[in-house]
Amino acid sequence: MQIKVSRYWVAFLFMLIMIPFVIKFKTLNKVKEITLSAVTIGIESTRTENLVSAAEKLNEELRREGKNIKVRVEPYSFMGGWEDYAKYFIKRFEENNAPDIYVTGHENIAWLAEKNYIIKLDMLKESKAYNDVFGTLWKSVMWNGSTWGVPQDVEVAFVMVNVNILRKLGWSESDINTLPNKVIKGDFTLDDMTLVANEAVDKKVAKWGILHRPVNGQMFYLAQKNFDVQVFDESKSTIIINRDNLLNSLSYFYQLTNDYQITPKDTTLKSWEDINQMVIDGETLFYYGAIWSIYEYIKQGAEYQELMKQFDFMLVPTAIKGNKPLTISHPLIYTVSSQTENKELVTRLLEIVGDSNYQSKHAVKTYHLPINKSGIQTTEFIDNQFLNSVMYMLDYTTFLPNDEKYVAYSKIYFEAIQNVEGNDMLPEQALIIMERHLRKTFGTKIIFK
Amino acid sequence: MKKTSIHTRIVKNQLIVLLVTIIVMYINIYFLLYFSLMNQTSKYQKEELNYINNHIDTYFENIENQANFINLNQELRSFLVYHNQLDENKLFLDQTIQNEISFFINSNAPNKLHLFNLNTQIITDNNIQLNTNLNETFWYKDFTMNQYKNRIYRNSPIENTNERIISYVFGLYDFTETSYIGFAKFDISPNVFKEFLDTKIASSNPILILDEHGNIISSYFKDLFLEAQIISEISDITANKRIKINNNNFLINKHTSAYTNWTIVSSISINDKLSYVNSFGLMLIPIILFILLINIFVSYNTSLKIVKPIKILIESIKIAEKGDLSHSEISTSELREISELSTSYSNMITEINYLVEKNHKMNLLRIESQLTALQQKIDPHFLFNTLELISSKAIIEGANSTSIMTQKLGNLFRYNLKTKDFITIKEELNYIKDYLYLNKIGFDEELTVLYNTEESIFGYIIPKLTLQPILENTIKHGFGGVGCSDNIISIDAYKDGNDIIITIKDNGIGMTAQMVSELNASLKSDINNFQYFINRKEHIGLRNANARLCLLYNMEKALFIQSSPNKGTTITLSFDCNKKRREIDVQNNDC
Repeated sequence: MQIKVSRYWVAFLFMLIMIPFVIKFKTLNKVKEITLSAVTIGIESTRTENLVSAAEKLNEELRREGKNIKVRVEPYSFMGGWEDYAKYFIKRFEENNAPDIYVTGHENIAWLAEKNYIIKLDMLKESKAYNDVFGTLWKSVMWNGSTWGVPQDVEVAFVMVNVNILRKLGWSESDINTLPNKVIKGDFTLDDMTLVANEAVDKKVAKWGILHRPVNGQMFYLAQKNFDVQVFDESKSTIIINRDNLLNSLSYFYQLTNDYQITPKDTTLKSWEDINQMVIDGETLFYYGAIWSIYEYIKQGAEYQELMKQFDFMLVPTAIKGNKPLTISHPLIYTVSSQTENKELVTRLLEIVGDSNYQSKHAVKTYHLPINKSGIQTTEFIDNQFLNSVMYMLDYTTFLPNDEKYVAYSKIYFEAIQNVEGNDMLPEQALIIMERHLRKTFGTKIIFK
Repeated sequence: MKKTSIHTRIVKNQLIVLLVTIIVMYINIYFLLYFSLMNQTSKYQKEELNYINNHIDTYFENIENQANFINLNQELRSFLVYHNQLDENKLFLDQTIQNEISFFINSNAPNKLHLFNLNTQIITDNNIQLNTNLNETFWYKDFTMNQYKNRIYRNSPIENTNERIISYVFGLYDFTETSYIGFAKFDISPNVFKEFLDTKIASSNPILILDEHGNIISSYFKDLFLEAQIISEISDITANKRIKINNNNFLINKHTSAYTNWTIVSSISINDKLSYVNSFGLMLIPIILFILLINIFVSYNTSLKIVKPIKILIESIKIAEKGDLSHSEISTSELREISELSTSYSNMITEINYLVEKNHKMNLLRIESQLTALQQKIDPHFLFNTLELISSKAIIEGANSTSIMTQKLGNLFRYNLKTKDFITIKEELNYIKDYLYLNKIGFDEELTVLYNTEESIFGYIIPKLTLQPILENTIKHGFGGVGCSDNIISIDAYKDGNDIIITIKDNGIGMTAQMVSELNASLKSDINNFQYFINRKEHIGLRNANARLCLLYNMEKALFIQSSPNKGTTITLSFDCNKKRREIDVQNNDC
C-alpha cells in the first residue's frame, strides 16, 4: 500500500514538471498570425482580393522558409467619394490604426508623402515583379525623387458614342466606323461633337446630347486640359492659368446645359446609378466615360454584348482645332502606411501581387488596363477585344500632376462647373469667383495670365 | 701550403661575401623593380582605361537618362502619336512641351537635341529643320532597319575639317513601349566631346579611342607610326601586348566598352619607364661603394680587435715555449671570448708557475733532507740489530737506563727512515718525546719537558720532522747545549676553531728583538721568494719547517717567534686545518 501511494506521487510530480515543457512546446509550434489590413475604394474588390490571394502564396513561401508566421489580409472597400476616402484614411491614421496597405489615386502621393502618412517603396521598383511596368506609370508614383507607391492598374477615359443614335441621325456605318479615327486626326472636334449632339437632341433621336459624370473626377481635369486652361510648372510647383482658356472651358459647360440644353442642368446632383442608367438606356448620344464604366454598367444589369453593339469608343475630341485629341489615365496605386509594423511582409505581399496574372485578372474583370508588358501578353487580356481596342488611347493619355494643389484645384474647378451648369452664374462670373478662390487657396503658387 | 693571417682572411672573405650579396641583391632588386614596374604600369594602364571608359559610358548614360526622361513625357508622346498619322512635312513642337523639355532643347545645352516623329524632324524655337530627307539619312535607315533602342553614330566630317559629330540616337516609344513613335537624336559636337575627354585623359599618356569599326574617334597619340601600327593590329591586341618600334618598346592595353562598343587603347613607353629603374640602379652604385668601404673598415677593425690580442698571446706562448713562464701578463680585449682566452692563459701560466715553484721547493727540501739523512746513513738493519744487541746487553748487565736509551734511539732512526713525507701530529709528538728523552739524559736529567696536548688534534697532518728542528734549535741555541736544573721546555698543542696551534716555549737565553724581527721577516719572505729561501743558510731548520707547513696548508707563514733576551723563546706553530691542499696525498687525511 505504501509503495502504491509513492508511485502515484512520482507520476504526479512528473506531470507537474512536464507541464511547462508541454506549454513551451505548444508555444514554439504555434503559428503566429499576422493580419495586414488593406483598404480600397469602390466596387472593384479585386484590388484587395488579389492581396488575399497573394497572402496565400506568401504563406507558402514563409512555410518553406520555416517561419512560424501566417499572414492574413483583412480587405475593406470604401464606398464613397475620393475626398471622403482620404478623410477615412487620415482618421484611421490619427487613431494610430492606419491600414497597412492603402489603395489610392496616384495624385495623392504628394500629400501622403509630405505628411509622412506613407513610406518610400523604391526597393519594389527594382524587384522582379515590377521590372516591366510601363515607364510612364512609374513617373506617376514619383514624388520628390522617390517612389511612394506601386501601380495597381491603369485606365483610359473616353467618349462613349451611342451608334444607334448616330444611325438614327442618318450616319452610315462607314461614317460611324471612321469617327474614332477622325477624332485621332483632329477632324472631329469638340465643337463638332456638340453640334452632332445638339442635332440629335433637336431631332429628338436622343434625350440628351452629352452626359458626364455626376461627381468630381479626372474627366473635369481632362476638360480643362482640352481647353489649355493651365500648365503646371513643376520646378516652381506653380499652376499657371490662362484666363481666356479657363473662360472657354466654363463656357463649354454653360453652353451644354443652358445654350444647347443637351446636358441636364442637374447632372452633378444626380447619382451614379441615375447617370449609368441613362447611358445604358440609350438616352444620350455621347457620354464622357472611362473603360471601367462598362464594369459598372454590367454590375447595374447591362449586357456586355449589348453594350458593345450599342457603343463605340473614341478619344475626347480636341477643343482647339489643330490640337491632338486626348484622354486621361488615373492609375490607382498601392501605398504602404508609415504606421505598418510589418513593412517586410507588406512589401513581400506587394511584390507577389505585382505578378501579371493578378494584374490582368483584375484588369479584365473590372475593365482596367494592365500595368506592365507581361500583363498585356496574358491570354485573359488578349482575349478581351474591348480592352485591346482601347489600348491605343494610352498614347494620348495624360495624368494629374502629382501635386497636392490639384486636389483642391479640381474641387474649385468642379464647383465652377456646377455653378455654370446650374445657371447659377455666367461663365465670366464663375471665372471671377474661381480666380478669387484659387488665389485665396494657393496665394503666389497660382498665376493667372 | 701558404698560410694567411686571420686578419687578411676575415677582411677578404667578408669582402667577397658582401660583393656576392650585393651583386645578387642588385640583380634581384633590378628584376623586382622591373616586374613590379611592369605590373604597376599595366595595372595603372588598365585602371586608366577603365576610368576613361567609365566616364565615357557615364557620359552617354547621362544622355540616355535624358532620352528616357523625354520618352516618359506623355505630352510629347501624345504629340508624336498624333502627328505621326498626319503625314506632315513640317512640324513645330507645342510650346507647352517645349517648356517641359526646355532643359534639353535650349541653345545652351551641351548636346544638341533633335526630335523626330516617324516622318520628319520636329522644329523647336532653338533649332531649324535640317536640310535632309529623314528617309535618306544613314542613321534613320540603319536604326529602324535594325530596330535599335539606342545607337551611337558618327556623321560625315564637318565641312573643311576631319571632325565628325557624334550622334546618340534613341527610339521614342509608345505607352506600352512596343513601337517607335519617334526619335531623339543628341548631337555631340566634336569640340564638346574633346573638351570632355581632355578632362579625363592625362596628356602624358597616349590614348586612342576607336569606334566599333576601328575608326578613330579621338587620338592623343603624337607618334603617328605607332598609332597606325596599333590600328592595324587592333584585333590582335590582347592584355599587355608589346610593340617594338625603333628600339622603343611600348606596352599596349585596350578596353572595349559593352555600352558604346568603343575601344579605348592606351600605350605606355616601356623604355621611359625603365629609365627610372636604370637611374635608380646608377644611383645605387655610390651607395654600394660606400657600404663596401664601411664594411672593409668595420671588418678590418673588428678582425684587428681579434687578431691583436691573439698575436700578443702567441708572443707570450712563444716566450713560454722558451721556458720563461714569468711572462703571463697580456693585454685585455673588449671581446669576451678573446678576453676569456687571455685570462685563461694567464691563469694557466700562473698555475704552472706555482706548480713548478712548489715542485721545485719540495724537491729541494726533499733533496736537502735526503742529503742530511744520507750523511748519517748506515745500513739500517745493522744499526737496529746493533741497538737491539746493546739494549739486551744493558738489561743483562743491569743498565736499564742504557737499554731504554738504546730503544729510544732506535725509535728515532726508525722514524727518520720512514718514507712518508707527511705524518700525524701524534706520530710527530711521539718522535719528539723520544728525541727529548735522549737530550734529557744528555743534560743529566737537568731538563724539564712539560706536555699539554689535546688528543683531538692528533690526527691532523703535518710534514715529517716539523717539530724536531724547532726543539733542536731550542736545545742548541736556547740552552746553549748545556744542562741546567732550571731548563724547562713546555709543549702545548690544541685546536682553536679551525686553527691547530702548537707552541714550544723555553726559558733559555732568548733572542734580541732585532733577531726575532729578522727571523719572523725571513719566515714570511721564504714562501714568497724561494730564491731568497735557497740563498739564506741561517736558521735552516726553523725555516724549512715553516716552508713545508706553509706549502701543505697554503699559507704565507706558519711559525711565529716571540723572544726576549734571558727570558726564553716561544715558537708558535699554527695552521688552518681546512686550508690543506687537496693534491697532497696523505694516508691520514682527517681534515
